[in-house]
Amino acid sequence: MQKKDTIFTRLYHGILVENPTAVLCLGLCPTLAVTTTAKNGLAMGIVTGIVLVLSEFFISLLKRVIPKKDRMIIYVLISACFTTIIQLVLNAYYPDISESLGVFVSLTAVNGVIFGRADNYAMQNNPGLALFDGIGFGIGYTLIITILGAVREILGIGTIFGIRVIPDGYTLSIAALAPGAFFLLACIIAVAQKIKGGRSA
Amino acid sequence: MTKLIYVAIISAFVNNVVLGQMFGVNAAIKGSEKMSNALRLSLCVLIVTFLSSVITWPLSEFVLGKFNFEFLQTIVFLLVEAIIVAILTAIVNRWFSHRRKIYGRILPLIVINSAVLGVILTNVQVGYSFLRSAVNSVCGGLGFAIAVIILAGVRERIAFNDVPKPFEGVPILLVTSGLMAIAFYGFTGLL
Repeated sequence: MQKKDTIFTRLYHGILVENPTAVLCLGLCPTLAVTTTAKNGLAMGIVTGIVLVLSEFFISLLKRVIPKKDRMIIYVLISACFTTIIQLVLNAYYPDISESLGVFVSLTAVNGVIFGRADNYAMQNNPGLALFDGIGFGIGYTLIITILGAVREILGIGTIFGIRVIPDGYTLSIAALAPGAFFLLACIIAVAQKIKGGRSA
Repeated sequence: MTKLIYVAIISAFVNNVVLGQMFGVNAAIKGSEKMSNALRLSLCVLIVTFLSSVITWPLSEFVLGKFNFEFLQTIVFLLVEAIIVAILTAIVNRWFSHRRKIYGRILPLIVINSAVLGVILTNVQVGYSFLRSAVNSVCGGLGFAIAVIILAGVRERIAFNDVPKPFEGVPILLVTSGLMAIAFYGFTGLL
């Protein structure tokens, strides 16, 4: 029999055991694309986290009404509504962030993390737990995306959150480009798999 | 005309959807498991991207733009995508019923494929003309197909190699895509 779900197990699973990026490998496209700086990564993580929490809560509330066959379309429309709200808030209060994230704010609506969690958790559990599941997975996602952003910023530009740590001319410019994102994310997932393999063995 | 060819080369090779702009990385990794699946997925993405960009461009220009409803772009575009996918599913069920099972698994996931939404949103937000956005979306779909098919081919080779244990699965595919992305930078020389 499975252990009883509590708020803390949800948070623990979301942040560590089932981390959406490092363990489940979901929602990789924004993770790769916007993490040129740590600030962008953090902003994208928070945006995704908020949309995830709200969509999971509402999908869990509506779980009896959503038809099984066309559930994907319902999920997409719910997450698109919240994405639009977040986009309007960003445009109004943080126009610079909205500018630097660009089209990827809209693409939050089709982030794989939301569909994975909606299908595997929110559809089977009550809204309260789904809310904390969303918070846990949102924090887990934000954590990895910020780490990747920070590593790419340090290696590629030589700064972190805008503060210079590596002098100009000693930076590794490939880390700031697309291939660097692929390599570094591969390393992060590999580290997670190593830790996981060590624990289960 | 030359401008359109430039757009085509840029969106298919230089700024490849998967390797340059990084839309639909998850779909590419999941879809490249088998070569036959990769081909089917690319075909679906190509058709849906083209049709939805042809429909969404006038929609956003003449309806959303006119009434200042640009903020509804994401929802409306996703609805259009969902309707196109529903129609395609119906067509497959009606005329290609022997393939129904295979496409029944691929098509619903096209709606949440960020390559399709990414390309049609970029078309509108950058402000391309109708012809240009049609070319951009076809070549974006082609770029996705190229990336997925190459990845599927490389994956068949990886299956026979010893990959370090922590890198098995997704990480080695990400490294492969990274190397492919470096190779695709070479296409910058075409322009």
